[in-house]
Amino acid sequence: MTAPLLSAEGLFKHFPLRGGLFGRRAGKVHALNGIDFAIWPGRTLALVGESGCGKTTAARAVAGLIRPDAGRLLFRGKDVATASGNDRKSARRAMQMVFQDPYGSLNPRLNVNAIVAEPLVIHGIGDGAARRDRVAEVLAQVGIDPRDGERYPHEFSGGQRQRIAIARALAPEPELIIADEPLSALDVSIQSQVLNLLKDIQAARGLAFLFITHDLAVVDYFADEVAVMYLGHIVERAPRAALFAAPRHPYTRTLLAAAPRPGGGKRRPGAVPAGEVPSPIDPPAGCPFHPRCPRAVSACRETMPILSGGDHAFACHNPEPVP
Amino acid sequence: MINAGVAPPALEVEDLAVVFPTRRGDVLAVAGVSYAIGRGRTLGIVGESGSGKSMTALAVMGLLPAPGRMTSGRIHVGGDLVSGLGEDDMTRIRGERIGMIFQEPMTALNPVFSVGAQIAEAWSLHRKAGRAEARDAALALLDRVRIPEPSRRYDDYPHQISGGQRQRAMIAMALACKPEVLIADEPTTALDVTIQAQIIELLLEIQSEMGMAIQFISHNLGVISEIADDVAVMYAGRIVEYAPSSRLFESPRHPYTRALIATIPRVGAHDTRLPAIGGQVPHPLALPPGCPFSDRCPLADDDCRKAVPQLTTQGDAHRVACIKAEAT
Repeated sequence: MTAPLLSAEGLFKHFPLRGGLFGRRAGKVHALNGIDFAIWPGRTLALVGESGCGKTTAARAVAGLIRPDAGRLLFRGKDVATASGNDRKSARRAMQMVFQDPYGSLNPRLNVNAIVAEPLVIHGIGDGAARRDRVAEVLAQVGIDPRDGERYPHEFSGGQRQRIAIARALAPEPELIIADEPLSALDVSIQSQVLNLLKDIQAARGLAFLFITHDLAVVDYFADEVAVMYLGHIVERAPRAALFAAPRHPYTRTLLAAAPRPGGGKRRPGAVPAGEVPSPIDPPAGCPFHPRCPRAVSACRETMPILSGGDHAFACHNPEPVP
Repeated sequence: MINAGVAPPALEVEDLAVVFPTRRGDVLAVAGVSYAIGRGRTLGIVGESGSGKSMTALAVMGLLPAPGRMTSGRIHVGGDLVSGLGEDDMTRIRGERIGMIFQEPMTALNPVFSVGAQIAEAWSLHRKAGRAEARDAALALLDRVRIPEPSRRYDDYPHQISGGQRQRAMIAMALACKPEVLIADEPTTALDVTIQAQIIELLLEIQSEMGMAIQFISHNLGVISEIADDVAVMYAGRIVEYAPSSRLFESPRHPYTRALIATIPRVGAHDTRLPAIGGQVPHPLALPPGCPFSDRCPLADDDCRKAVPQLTTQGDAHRVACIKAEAT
């Protein structure tokens, strides 16, 4: 097997909460509690989970937007944090991000050409003419007429804006795209256009993706590997087909049971356990899912299970049987 | 009703039209919409942004934001005409006969009163009851919507409880007067999927107990499928297809509905390519001539651009607004 393009080892991030008089520390949000994952060249890893699970924090750590408290990010085997200036710059250039909100993520004062050229300018790629050519090329790739390059973000629909954001990410010829819920802000009929575009780009250019989503159907459609997150932990990690065929962690099963199925008839009662995701400020002892888990045993209340099991790994004291 | 042959539907909307005057011209947000919902039944209204689904709900509740106004339409609740009533009468109807829940519970909950006090107030609004009785009723409602430890949650303020619990509190408030009709506008859209599933389950359960009619609005066909008996698909201010839920998902007839259902990624479809709908929802001031979907429709020809197709029955309960529907 080839070496991973990017691997995360023991990523750990707690955000301090300030409160009260003089902004004293009032606790901390346990956003990432030591997670490991790897992304291979040309493959897609999906991080899936509900709010507060840490998937966005993980994406931001990979993109270099936040610094993890502990743990390492290796790009082509080199630690991004301690790499030499040149290595670090080329790693940053090779990882580009697409955000959820195509309204907030494009600078309204810049025209489309300037937005898409920005990463080229930042990384000092090409001269003026070469940049113009590159911008026109990536705009055409994402289905935006390069002649519209002089226009401003507000003149475009949400779907077109997301295409522009994708063009910006593609401009510096990255090897990994970090996409944080890139479909969530779009209308249903536009989501499939953007999803197809991402799949086409991946097929054409062999790009790797770190794909952050809450939607398991999108995961099944787009991902090669899946990591299911709950309260800052990866609770199950597996190749896509294995995860959907035989989910072993009860939380993965719960997520699958909760996903609405068009044409599946009315929701049958009892498929989803009661209760809500506990606060990441004060997570429960033991397995974070045990207060809601229909399979919890006494060990679950005491010790956090370790993620183990090779290709199909899960962190559970009492896993679902293999069907 | 002593010798009623057929009970009137819980909610009946006839030929509803809503106009928003803008500087660039009048926007026809809802362009002649009719439907009825029987007692204990749920109509799911599905559409993308700008389809008119939320404006339809706001018009029914008499809550259209200015400068929007109804230019035609009659609305009956349990057989009684409620459209055209004055503000005071409409406020009473909203409290007693129509309950409402929204995507964002903070639009319905007052941040400066405790959750329990607000439910108690909603409950006692149309009853002659003492404070203790109202408190007991509110506690029972909190328990009914499965908020754990109701007596401890009663005094919490809305910001102190989770988004899922706020949604439950809003449902409790909407149910306080045992309404005949519950209007639910994207009530699960801001929630996580496991909480969404719990809320849908709760609404189905309460409906089977109380027998109210539900008008459930969503952009999410999966959610609609999980709760609705009948489904209306809206596009550019019109209902383009209307059918019993199972029929709609099994044999959709309008090209827009067919495309919408086909474009949703679903578990088990990894190796297929999603059929995408080209183009985008047209701006309400720049609709194509004739059928509003004609500029995105693979079947459209010159006939489609001549006139807006009317919603017509295609055998029993299935109605479609498409002159090509039979060909599909």
